[in-house]
Amino acid sequence: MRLSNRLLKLTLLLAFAVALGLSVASKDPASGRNVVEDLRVEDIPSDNGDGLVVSWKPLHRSKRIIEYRIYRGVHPDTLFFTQAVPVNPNVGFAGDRMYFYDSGFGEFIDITSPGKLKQEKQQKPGSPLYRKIPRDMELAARLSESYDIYASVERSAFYKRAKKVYSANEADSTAYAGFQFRHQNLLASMRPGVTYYYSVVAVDERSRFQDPAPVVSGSPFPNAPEEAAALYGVWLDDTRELRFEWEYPMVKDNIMQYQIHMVSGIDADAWENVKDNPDQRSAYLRPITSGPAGGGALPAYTAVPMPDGIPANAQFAIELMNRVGSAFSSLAAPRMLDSTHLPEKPTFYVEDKPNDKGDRLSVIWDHPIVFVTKTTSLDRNNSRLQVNYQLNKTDTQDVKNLYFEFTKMGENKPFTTIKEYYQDMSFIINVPKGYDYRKGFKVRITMEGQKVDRKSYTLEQELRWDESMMTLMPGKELWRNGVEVSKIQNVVFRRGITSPMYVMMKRNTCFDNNLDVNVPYPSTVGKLVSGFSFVKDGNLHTYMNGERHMRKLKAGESRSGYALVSPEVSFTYDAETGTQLSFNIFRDEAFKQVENDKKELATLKSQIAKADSPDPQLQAQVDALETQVKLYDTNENVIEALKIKGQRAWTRFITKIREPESRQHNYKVVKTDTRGLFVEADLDVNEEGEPNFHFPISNWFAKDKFVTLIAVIVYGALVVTFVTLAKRGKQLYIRPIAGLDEIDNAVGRATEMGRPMLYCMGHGGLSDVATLASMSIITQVAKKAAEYDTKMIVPCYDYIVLPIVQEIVREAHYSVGRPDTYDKNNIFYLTNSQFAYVAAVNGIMIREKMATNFFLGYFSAEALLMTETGNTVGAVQIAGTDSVTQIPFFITTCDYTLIGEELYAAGAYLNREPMLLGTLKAQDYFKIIIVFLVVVGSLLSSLQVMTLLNILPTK
Amino acid sequence: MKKTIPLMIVICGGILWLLWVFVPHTIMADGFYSKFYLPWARAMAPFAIILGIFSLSMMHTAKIRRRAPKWQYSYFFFAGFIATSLAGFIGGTQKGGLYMWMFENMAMPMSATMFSLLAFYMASAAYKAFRARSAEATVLLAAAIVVMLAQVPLGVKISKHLPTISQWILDVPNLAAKRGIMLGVGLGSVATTLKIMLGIERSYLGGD
Repeated sequence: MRLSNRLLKLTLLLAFAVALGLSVASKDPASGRNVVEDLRVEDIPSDNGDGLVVSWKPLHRSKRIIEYRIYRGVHPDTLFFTQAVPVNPNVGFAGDRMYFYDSGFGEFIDITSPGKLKQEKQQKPGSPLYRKIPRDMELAARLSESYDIYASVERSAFYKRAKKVYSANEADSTAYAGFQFRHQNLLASMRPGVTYYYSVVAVDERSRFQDPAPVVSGSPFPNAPEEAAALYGVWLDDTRELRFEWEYPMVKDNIMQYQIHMVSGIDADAWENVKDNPDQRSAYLRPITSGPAGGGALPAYTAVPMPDGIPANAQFAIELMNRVGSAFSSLAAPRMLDSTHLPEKPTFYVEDKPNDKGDRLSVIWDHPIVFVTKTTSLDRNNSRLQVNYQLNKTDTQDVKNLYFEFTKMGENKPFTTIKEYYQDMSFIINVPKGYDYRKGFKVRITMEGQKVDRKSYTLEQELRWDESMMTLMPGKELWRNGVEVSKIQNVVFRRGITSPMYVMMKRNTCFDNNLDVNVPYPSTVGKLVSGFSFVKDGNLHTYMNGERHMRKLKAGESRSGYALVSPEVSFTYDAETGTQLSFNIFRDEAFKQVENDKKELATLKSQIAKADSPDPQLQAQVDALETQVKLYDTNENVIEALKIKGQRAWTRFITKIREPESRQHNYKVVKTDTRGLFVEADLDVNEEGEPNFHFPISNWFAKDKFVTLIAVIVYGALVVTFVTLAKRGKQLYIRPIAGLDEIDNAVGRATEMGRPMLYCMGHGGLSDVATLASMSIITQVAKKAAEYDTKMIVPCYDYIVLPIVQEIVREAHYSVGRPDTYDKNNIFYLTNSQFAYVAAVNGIMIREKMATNFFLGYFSAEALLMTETGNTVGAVQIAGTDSVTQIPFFITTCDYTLIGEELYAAGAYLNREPMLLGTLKAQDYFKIIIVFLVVVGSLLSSLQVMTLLNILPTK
Repeated sequence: MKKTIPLMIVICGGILWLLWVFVPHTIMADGFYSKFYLPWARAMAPFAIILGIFSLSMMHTAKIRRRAPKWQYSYFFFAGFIATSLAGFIGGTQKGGLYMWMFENMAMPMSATMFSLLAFYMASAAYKAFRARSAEATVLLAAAIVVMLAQVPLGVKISKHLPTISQWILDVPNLAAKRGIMLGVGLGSVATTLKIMLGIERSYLGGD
């Protein structure tokens, strides 16, 4: 760039003037107003003491607030941005108060955090508000004294970037895994009893920060849980068994246990008065069963055998417990039923999803489910109804034909049967003449397919008149083989290889027959942060467990700051002993641990031998350690691991064993009416009675793309054949394309008029085939332009395309012996903003008075804007695109248009090179094959032969 | 050598992408695409934009130097470029900063203005297209009138069959033509890809 000094100064001055003007224009004249009022911070009830609820009175809609920003800190003079609550400025916030629940692990420090402490924007001096907590290890260490910190480390960084770090505490010889900020996201959770300070700032739609609300403080405390939302009981008289199901309250994460009591001698109203008083209620209680609740994730049902029966007016209550206390539910009387009322026992199987990368499974408990979703009357007389239906099935379940039998209400014989051999989710039926269709219909659905036939499996629904929808709609009921199942849910549970407890995954309605389970590959490793280490003034500081330690930095020790986490990871599960083995990610430390365990075992054993009386606690410790030490010599994975020499190989082997194990699960399906009538499926075990653990398989070939692969091979073979024929000198006929034949005339016109040409490649990038095709055309156009010495301007939309086009045009000038006429500045980058590009190209067209315009490439809405302008300036226009929506605009406004594939053929057409022409011929012959398949497929489908249609890919 | 190495890179890349389509394995889906391709593509883009900026600056500098027609406008490019860059680098690109203010209050309204012009251009194009100069153009005119009328309440008032006819025009002849073009486009894309992969088409390397 050779701008003169004077011009450069002028430009800079102009830029500063513009920036200053804009800065003044965007300045906040209204800041210092609209303070959020009545800010309150209160403890979240019934939680485990890690949450506060922040509430405030929202500003009026007229203030056009777009978000409320919440700031939190452990000192009133330093509050960090925590989260923003967005508000629609057009409607404002409807309620009197806005609530923000600040609980659990939330953002602490991540890659988006500022590098250093930064005051919030538009704040007055002395404001306590700061942006996010900065990436400052010392500050993080200090804050860790008021928060529980959790590190989420990217998987490969965890194993490859972990630094072995020791604490500044000389008494602590543990080697920690240390991570720098760039390798982890830190999350923080509040601690019970600590005081936190809050302020809230409203931001309006012009991004003006209003004044902060006065700082308010609050402390979270752990509370007893809420009572259960509902308890349902069923007495099964024939099996002498009580069955219970319950619903957890909204806040359930901290509920650890449940206990069900039989409550006698008190009525429901009186119970409400005494249930919260331990002294008063204890007289009425008789515990009958208890179990773990696992934060509401474990099964919320249980069966209690009562061989002696229960009193006639027995009532029950469920007590939910956490570390702080417990809460009793209202009384529930059981329904008196017998086991015939139980739902059918579910059977299920688990299968791998085909053609995926190995992160999905299907849990399947039923044949495909088909049901009518809605109907639409197609004419005024309501004589024809369009019926929409839904088919729920897995990728592997094959349904050949569906049969819908429609029967008038009150009759048994169907008036029509629809056979859906091509399941397009809708069909049309004719309403019988003289029948008032508002009376409704009964629909019986059957199917033929793999493992299912019309006799053994039927689904029935009723279509009833819906006044609000003014049409026939399906009722809520669904009969499966004559049994009404609409209230039945299929609940899927699973457990990992190391856990005996099943955790609920999803409640499914009776309209679902399977559950897609996502089993992702581990992408991060999460660990609670034990402490922080950083170096300051040549000293190593460590903040851990609320203590601060300092010592001189030793030679060779890293000066970086680290978040310290435990380097222990679960390694393998030994099914025989039921032991989960963990290893250190640092190989040398792991080997040290093995040796230490062996030594400790020997020491403990000698202690037991010397002891006068048996110590059961010590014995248990020895037993556990002995099992573990034994595994060092017997477990195959451990033996293999202990043979490894290098650190890299060590971590690689650990991940190879632990990650697949973490993705193995055993599943269970429970059918329930959600009111106490539930049946568990048989456990999913193998022939030896051991649980089957399923994991998804990563597929090497997508079988659903088999036909596509064959098509590619056939097409490739055609291309090779015709290229070979062309090479041997066979003359290949290509039909004339008017737009391409006119290129010579168009260039000639520009030459005669002495005006330039414009070549526009559209807004596609290098990955667009249209852009690549355009490149082969510009080669020919540039040669002609160079030959005739006509200026060709090429404004580029994509900066990656620019250097390639420059090179193509330069080569074209060289190839016709006119390197002197090549001007690099005629091919330039404009912008990748769509309409800015249009404005610039239109400006160029008008200023330069173009004689010829080429629009060849991928275009969108900008196409018409450019070609109409080109038309106005009187240029000859040749356009071509593969964008179907823009072709009509080009046809209307341009002189010649290349439609779709003609654009791709242009390069070969202009070049006349045999090899390129060969591909064009191959394309034509392949089209013949496609047309043949279309015709044959249409005929076969009309004859209800779906084989061809089914083998062809649908997308 | 100047062209052989890039050609080899393109061919290998093409084969890799072909495998990506047919091999759903985690090695291709995560290892190649998510962990290799995406980070590299993201890392390369900023370097390429420097080329673009350099090219644009060169073009405007040359214009100013040569006093080409309307050369004064080139100062607006430099002014806008420097002002926007300063706003972004100094004040950041987040909401609330000058950069975002300029984007929301200058760039977006200007883009919207250009886009809104499309309506007038469409009217002009429609006028050209609907002049019944030939039998084909007359068919086009008739079809367009039916489709347009069916979109407004007046159309239904004229005839209750208009929406049905309109939908038929859109679903049958229109869709058939569109699918025909798309079929050609699809095959053409594959052909172009094959030409590139087999090294038959080399224009993207600069030259024939």
